[in-house]
Amino acid sequence: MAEPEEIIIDAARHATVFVSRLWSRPNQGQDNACTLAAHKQRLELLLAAVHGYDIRVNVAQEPAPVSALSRLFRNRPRHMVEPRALPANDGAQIFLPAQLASPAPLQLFRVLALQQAGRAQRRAVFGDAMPSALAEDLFYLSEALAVDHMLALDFPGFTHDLLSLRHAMLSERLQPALLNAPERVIEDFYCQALNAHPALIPSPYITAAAAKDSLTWAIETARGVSAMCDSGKIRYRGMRSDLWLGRTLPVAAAHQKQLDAANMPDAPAQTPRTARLSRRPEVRKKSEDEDDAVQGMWMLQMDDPQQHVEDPAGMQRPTDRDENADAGDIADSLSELPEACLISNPRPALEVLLSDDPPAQRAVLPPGLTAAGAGISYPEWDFRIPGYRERGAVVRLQASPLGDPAWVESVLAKRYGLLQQVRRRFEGMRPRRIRQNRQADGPDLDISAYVNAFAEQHMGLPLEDRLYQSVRPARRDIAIALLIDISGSTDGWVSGDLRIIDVEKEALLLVNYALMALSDPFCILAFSGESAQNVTLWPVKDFDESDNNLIHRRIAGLEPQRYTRAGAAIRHTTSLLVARPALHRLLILLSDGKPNDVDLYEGPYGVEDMRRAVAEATLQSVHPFCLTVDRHAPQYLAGIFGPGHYAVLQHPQFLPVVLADILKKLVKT
Amino acid sequence: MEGSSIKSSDPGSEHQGVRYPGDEAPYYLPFGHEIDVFTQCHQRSLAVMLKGPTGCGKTRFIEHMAWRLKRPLVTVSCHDDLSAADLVGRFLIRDNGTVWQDGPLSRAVRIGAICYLDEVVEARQDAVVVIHPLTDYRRVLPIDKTGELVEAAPGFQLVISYNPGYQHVSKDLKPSTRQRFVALDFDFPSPDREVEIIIHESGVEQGLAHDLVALAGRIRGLADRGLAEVPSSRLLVATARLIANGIPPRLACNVGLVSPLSDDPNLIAAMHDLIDAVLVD
Repeated sequence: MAEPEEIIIDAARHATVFVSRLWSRPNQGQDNACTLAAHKQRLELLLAAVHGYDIRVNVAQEPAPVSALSRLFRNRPRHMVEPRALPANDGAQIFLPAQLASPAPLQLFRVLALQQAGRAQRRAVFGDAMPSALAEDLFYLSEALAVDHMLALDFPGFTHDLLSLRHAMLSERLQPALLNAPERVIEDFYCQALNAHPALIPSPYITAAAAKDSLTWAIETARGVSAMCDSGKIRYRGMRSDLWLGRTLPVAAAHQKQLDAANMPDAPAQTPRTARLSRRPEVRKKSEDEDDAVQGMWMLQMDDPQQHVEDPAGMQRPTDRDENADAGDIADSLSELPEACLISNPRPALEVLLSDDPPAQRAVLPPGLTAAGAGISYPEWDFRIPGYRERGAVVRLQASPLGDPAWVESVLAKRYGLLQQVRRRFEGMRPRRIRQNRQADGPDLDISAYVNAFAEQHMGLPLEDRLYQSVRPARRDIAIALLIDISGSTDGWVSGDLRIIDVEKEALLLVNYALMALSDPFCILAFSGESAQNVTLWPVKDFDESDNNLIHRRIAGLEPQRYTRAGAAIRHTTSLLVARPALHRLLILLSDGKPNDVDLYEGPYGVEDMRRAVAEATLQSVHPFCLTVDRHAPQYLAGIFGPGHYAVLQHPQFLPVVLADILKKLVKT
Repeated sequence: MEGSSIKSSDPGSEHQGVRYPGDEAPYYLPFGHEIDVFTQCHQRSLAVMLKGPTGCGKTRFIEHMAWRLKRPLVTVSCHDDLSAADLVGRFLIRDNGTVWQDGPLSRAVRIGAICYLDEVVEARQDAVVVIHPLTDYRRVLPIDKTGELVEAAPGFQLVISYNPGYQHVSKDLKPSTRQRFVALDFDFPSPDREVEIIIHESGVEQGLAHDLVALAGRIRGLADRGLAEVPSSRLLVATARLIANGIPPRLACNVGLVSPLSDDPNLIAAMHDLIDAVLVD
C-alpha cells in the first residue's frame, strides 16, 4: 500500500506534468505568427541550409528616441528617418524586426532573412570603405539588387514574396517635393529598383557578381550624379531606408582581433547589481584617433571631485565610482543612447545590464596574464572562423572542499521518503548477462527442452517449439558521469529555503546512494570557473571510489562559484568516460542556464562551443543528456543536445526524483 | 503523370536467399573506377569493403557487379543481434533428430557466390571474427559445430559495407578486420549524376529532377543541426516516383522527403521553407 508521502509526491508530479503541458501548449488565443520569436529557430535553420553555416537571427533595435539637441542639430530631416525597426546585418549575423504587420508574416520574415544573410555574406568579403554618402547609398542599392537577383534565380519559389515586398515598399516612398536634387536622383534609383522584377537587374544598375563590382559602379555613378546636380552646393542628406533595403551595421569582425585575450585576474566574488535594458545601444565603431592624447574641443578634468561630462565612449564617469547607484537608472540612461563603444576594464563589473540581444562581440583585456599552475588544455570551437582554437580552454582540477557531515545527516533524515522513492526507482536494474532457455530461436540447442519435448511428443502431446538457447546481452556495460554546474547563478532561490545549488546537492546525495547500489561505475564532477584559462573542475567522486562518507562530505562542500564554461567541462568529462572500458557511456549535465563566462563565451560563442563539445562526445560513443532548470532552455538546448536529449525541470525541487527517472530511462535504453 | 513509366531492373531469380543474375543489368551509374577495381578484386579473390552514407548506391553497385560477373549474390543485413551462428548455420530440430542448416555465409562459400554483409559493424563481434579466415589466403570457413572446414568455391567473394558517419566509435571495425579488405569509398552522387539517376529510376522530367536534387543539396546542409540523416539518393528516387505517379510535387516532397527525416518541428518547418523556395507552383 502506498504511503501518504508517496501519494502526495505522485499527485504533485502529475500536477507538474499537467501544468508543464499547459505551459508548453501554444497559446491559441494569441496570434504570435507575426513575431520573430515564433519563427527564429526556423529561420536560422533555413539560413544554415542555404549558406552552409550558422547565421544568428537577432531582434532589430528600434531607433533611439530623438533628443532635443539632435532635433536641433540633426543633419537629416524627420521624413528621411524611418521610425520602425529595420532589418539589418553586421556581416556575421542578421537582425529582423521583432514583429511584422503583414498578412503573411512568415513569408516576409523568410525573404528578409535571406536578403540580409545574402548581403552579409557578400559584405564579409568586401568591407566598408566608402568615398561618399552618395556612393555608399548607391552601393547598398546595387548590392540589394544583386542579392535579390541571386535569390530569385536560386529560389524561384520566393520570387512572388520578393515582388510583394518591393510593391509594398514602393507605395511608401517619399514625395519628390520633399527632396533636393541629388536626393531626387537617388530616390529615382530606389524606385527603379523596387519597380523591377527580382530576377532582372534594371538599367542603369549592373549585374554585380561581387561587391567590388557594385563599388566600382557606385563610385562612378555617384560622380556622375554629383556633376549633374552640382552637389558642391546642395548637400546630399541621404535616402530613406525601408524593410527592403534595411540597414547596414558596422562589421562585427572589427573587434575580433582582440579575441585571443586571456584572463581576468582573480577577483573577489561579488554579486553585481542587475537590471534589464529596454533597448540596447548599438555597438559603435571606435575611430582611430579618439583615444589620442591630443586635446580636443572638450576639456575633461580628470581629478576628483568635479566631473560633469558624461561620455558614452567609456571614459570614467562619476557614476562609475558609485557602488550604490541604482542599476535600473543606469539601464534607463543607457537605453536612450543610440550607440556606444565597447570597452573593457580589469575590475569586476558593478552592474550587469541584461539585454535580450547582447552584442555578439565583447571587448576583452589585452593578452598578458596567464593563469598559474598546470592544467589540461582543450580546444574550443570558434563559430566565427569556423574552426577550433588550439588550447582554447584550460581545465584545472581542484580537490573538492569537504563540507559539514551534519548537512548530510540532516538531508538524509529530512528526505528519507524521497531517498526510498529514488531507491525504488532503481530497483530491479541489476544488470547481468543471462542465458535464456526455451527460446523459439537461438544459436544453440536447449538439450533439456529438447529431451522433454521428445518425450512429450512420444506421449502424444503437441510438439513444443521452444527448443533453443540464446545468450542475451542483458548485462548493461555502462559508465555514467554526472557533471554538475555550480556557477554563481545556482545561488538563486527556487522554493522556500532552497537554492538551486541546495537542490542539486540533495539530488546528488540521493542519486549517489541509488547508483552505488546499482554497482555500475559512475563519477561525479562539479564545474565552474572564470575565463578560458581557469575552467575549474572538482572531482566529487571518481569511478573507482567507494568511500561514501568522503563523497558525501564533498557534495556537502559544493557552493556556487563564478561562471559556466560548459564546453571544456564536457570535453574533460567525455575524455574520462572514453577511458572507461564500457560499451555504453552516459554523460548527464545538470545545469541552470546558458553557458557564460567573463569573455565572449556568453552568447553564440558559448552555445556553439557547447554544441560542438556535445557532438564530439556523441562521436566518441558517449550519450550526453542535459537536465536544466532554465525555462528558456528549449530555445538553445534543442540545437545543442538534439531533440529528446534534454529535459527542462519546471519544479527544481523534484530534481532528485526526475534525475533518478531519467537515469533509469537512459540506462534501460 | 500519364505516360510515365517506372523502370526497374530485372531482379533475377532467388532461391534460399541466393539471388541469381537475371538478363537485364541492374541500373548503376559509375562515378569513377569502382567497376574496374571491383572486377580486379573479384579476379584476385580479394575481399572488398564499401564505405559510404546510407542510400548512396552501395547495394545497387553490388547487385550490378554480381550481374556483370555472373555470380550469385547472397545479401545479409546485419543487426546488433546477428551472431556467428546466424551467418554460419545451426542445428535445427526435425521429426526424429537434428539437422544442420547452413547459414547464408556457408551457403555462399559452398556455391561460390558473392556474399554481401550490409552494415557489418552492427553485427556482434563473434560474427565479424568468423569471416576472417575467408578474407586471407586460406579462404576457408571453419564450422566448429559440425567439425567441417569448408573451402570457398571458386568465385566466392566477401563484400562488406558500412557507413562511417553513422556508427559510434565502439561499433567501428577492428583494425585487424579492416586490413583484410580493399576499400571503395562511396558518397552521394554529384548533382548532374543524381539528376540522371532520378530520371532513370523514376521517369520524372529533367526540370523536376533538377529541383529535387537542389532541394536535397540544401537539406543536406542541415546535417549538423539536428538532422540525424540527410536525404539519400534513394529517398529522392522514392519521392520522384511518387511525383511521376501523379502525386503533386509539394505533397510528395513532404511525405517522401521531409517527414521521414525528422520529427523535430523546427527542422520540418525549415525543410518546408526550402521546398517553398525551390519548387514553383
